[in-house]
Amino acid sequence: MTGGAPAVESEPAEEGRLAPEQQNRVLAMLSLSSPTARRQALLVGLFVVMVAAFSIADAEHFLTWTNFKNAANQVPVLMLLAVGVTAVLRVGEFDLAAPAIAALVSGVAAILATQASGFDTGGGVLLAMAVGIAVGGLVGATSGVSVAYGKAPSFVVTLAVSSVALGLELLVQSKITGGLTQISAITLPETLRDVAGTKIAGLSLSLYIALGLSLVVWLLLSRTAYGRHAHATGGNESAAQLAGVSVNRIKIIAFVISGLLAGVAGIVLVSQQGYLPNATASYLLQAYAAAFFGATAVGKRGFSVPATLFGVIFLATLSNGLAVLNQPLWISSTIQGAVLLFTVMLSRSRT
Amino acid sequence: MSGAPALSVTGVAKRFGGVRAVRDGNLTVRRGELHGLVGPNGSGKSTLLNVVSGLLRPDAGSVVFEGNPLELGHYRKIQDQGVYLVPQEMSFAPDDEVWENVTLGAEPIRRGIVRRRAARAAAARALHLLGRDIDVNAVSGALSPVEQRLVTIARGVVRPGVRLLILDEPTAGLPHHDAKRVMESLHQIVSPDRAVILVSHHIDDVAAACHAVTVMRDGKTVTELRGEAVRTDDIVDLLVAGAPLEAIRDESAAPVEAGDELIDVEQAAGRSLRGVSFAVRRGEVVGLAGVLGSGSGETIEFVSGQSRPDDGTVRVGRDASDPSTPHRAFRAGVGYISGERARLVIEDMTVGEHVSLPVVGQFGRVGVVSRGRERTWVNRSLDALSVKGEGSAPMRSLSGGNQQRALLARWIGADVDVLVVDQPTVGVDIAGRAQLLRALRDLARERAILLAAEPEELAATCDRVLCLRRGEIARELTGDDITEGAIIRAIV
Repeated sequence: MTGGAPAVESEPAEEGRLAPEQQNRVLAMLSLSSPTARRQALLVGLFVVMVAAFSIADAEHFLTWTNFKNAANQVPVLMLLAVGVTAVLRVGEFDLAAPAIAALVSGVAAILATQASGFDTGGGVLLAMAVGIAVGGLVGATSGVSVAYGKAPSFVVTLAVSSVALGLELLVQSKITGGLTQISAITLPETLRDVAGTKIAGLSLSLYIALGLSLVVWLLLSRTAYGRHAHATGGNESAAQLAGVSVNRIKIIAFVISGLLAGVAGIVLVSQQGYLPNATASYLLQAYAAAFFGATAVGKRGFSVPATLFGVIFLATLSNGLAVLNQPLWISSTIQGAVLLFTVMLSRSRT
Repeated sequence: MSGAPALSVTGVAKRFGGVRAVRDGNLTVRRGELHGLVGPNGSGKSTLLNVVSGLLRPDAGSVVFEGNPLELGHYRKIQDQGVYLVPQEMSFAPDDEVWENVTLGAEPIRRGIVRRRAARAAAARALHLLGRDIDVNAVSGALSPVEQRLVTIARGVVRPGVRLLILDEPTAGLPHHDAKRVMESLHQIVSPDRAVILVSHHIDDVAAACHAVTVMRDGKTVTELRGEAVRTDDIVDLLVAGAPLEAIRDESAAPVEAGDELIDVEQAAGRSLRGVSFAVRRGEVVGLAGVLGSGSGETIEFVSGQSRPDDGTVRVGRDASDPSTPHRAFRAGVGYISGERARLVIEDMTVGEHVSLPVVGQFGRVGVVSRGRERTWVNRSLDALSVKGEGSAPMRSLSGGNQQRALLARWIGADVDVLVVDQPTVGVDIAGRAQLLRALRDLARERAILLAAEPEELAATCDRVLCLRRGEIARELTGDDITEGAIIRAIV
């Protein structure tokens, strides 16, 4: 380094090697210099490897448009639940009741649409669905109010609300005539079946609905004053409060959003498969696995709707691939649990 | 009393992030003496004692106890060597019985089972030594505040091997006669085998009781007074000494005439406050001075809606509203900032997002925030307080002083008439301090400001200073009477 060298205040580099500062810059370009970036590369890499593995194992079935359609049409229920819990995670709380709310709403909507007088027309069925979704919002509001004003931990509150919702579902179920405990899809009115049954470009209407609602929640969380206040509340509750934010209101709205989306998920579920009692239990883990995996793998500032959608795609690909390879169900469940455990541990190791 | 040194601390330094809590901590405590440690808030007293007791590992320095160097940072080992700290906010299980709280962590145990009778007897002995025969079977939460305080002190006394007991603010927040009783008890537990270090803001108590006093300022041990030299006036003089902050009051040449009443507190009472009344008008900066437990912190909480008085009323803003929550206080026109930035800074948020947080709704177009309008507003606010750094930078990238000014900037363009400012200069360097106080002074032209801060800062900034002492306004200083010394004399 003679006088002609640019005035960079760094140690002179050995021939052929980069000075420490330059190395840092290169690493930063690859954005693998921070633990966060390395972690994210690892998880996104995991996804790529998984897709590659399924493709190599059985390209004939896995990499087909038909398989993609099948997989995509299975996704809406999980997507709605996962996006709903993301709104609650964003304010720093947990909603463990979302799947139970979906179960309750599926019962309410199915029984209203099939057995209540006055709901048997096309408009009546729409009304039944609206009532179902409203019930979802109401149960969500109950969780929200208990958490916000009761100052109770949301973990326990929503566990309790979950039990109440499942109890109410049993009550609804007992009203099914003819001593049955379920309502098969064939007996549903057409309008209700159409939610999942209508195909646009081969993809179910319910998928478009789920994507549309995800977009709405994403805009709400990322572009509005509500979203800013939600981020602040989740980031540091006392800081939000001391800035004049009505933290209670922000939390209640988050739980209502989750309840409403769970309600829509319940309707989609009925439309797909008819009414089956307590059909949503397995979604609890999946919704949280999707939100945590997404936030850890691609999230820039914690939980967000796009990150959760990535998590949903990951889980859907995983279970679809395993199904294509004819793997038994227990494998899928075990791997999903392991993925959640792994990502949560990764995200905690940041400090 | 002039025994050999039991404890000698030399050259201790401890830094938290960018803040040098202790730069040069030195302390010599002789066997069997009651040793006072005094200094303003943030002078490093607690940090130094946390080092001695092993709760913190220092960056530099050594601690020798009875001739043996202590293994710093090892709380249990240091406790085994006979040093025990009763911290400022002692964890205390109110549902447990007195003996359980006293013997916690030092229960006599035989084959894994607590020997309850022996434990009760030990607790009773410890309390008796403190001069108060409290029923060891009583439920702790039902005791009076003095008795509860004594129970936590007894926790140190009950440990047989403790030869240096450190008490951090054992009388804070107690009314005078109760504090006196605690001080009397302290005499009982000092013995040739047991030295006691006492931290207190109540200088006259310390002067009356202690054999020796060490004074700290700005993280350094200033001096040690011993025997006859321990006098209240001398200690206060040592606390006042130091380069005074230049007066900021004079800069706003024409004093704004006081406008409408924007804070009105009537007979407010709570944990520490005992019926305090005052009012603050537009155009005024009113200071709140007081040591820990004097009620100044609680006054701040009441006016900013963080807690409500048990008795009396608090009214804020143009419409004299009740600030029952921070949100209601904000709606009534109250903005709050504090030097306790852990409570105000949000992980992952940018400087600009912090600035606009309270009012981000006003940049909405059909609910969606217009980022352009927001950016313009944020930049104008940041420029007004000359905050260095972009609005898009992470808040954590700013220095303490800049963070504090950014948090203050959020209220400049917002529709607030009242600013409640709580110890804004914690962890802010000297230059940043003056800048911040000047900004507050400017903001007061159109607003009412209630400021809790260090005496020298209040002396430089305020139109009036309310000096709180043991839950009451002991003195109100105005005009030229506002000096650092006058404030300190009124509050200690």
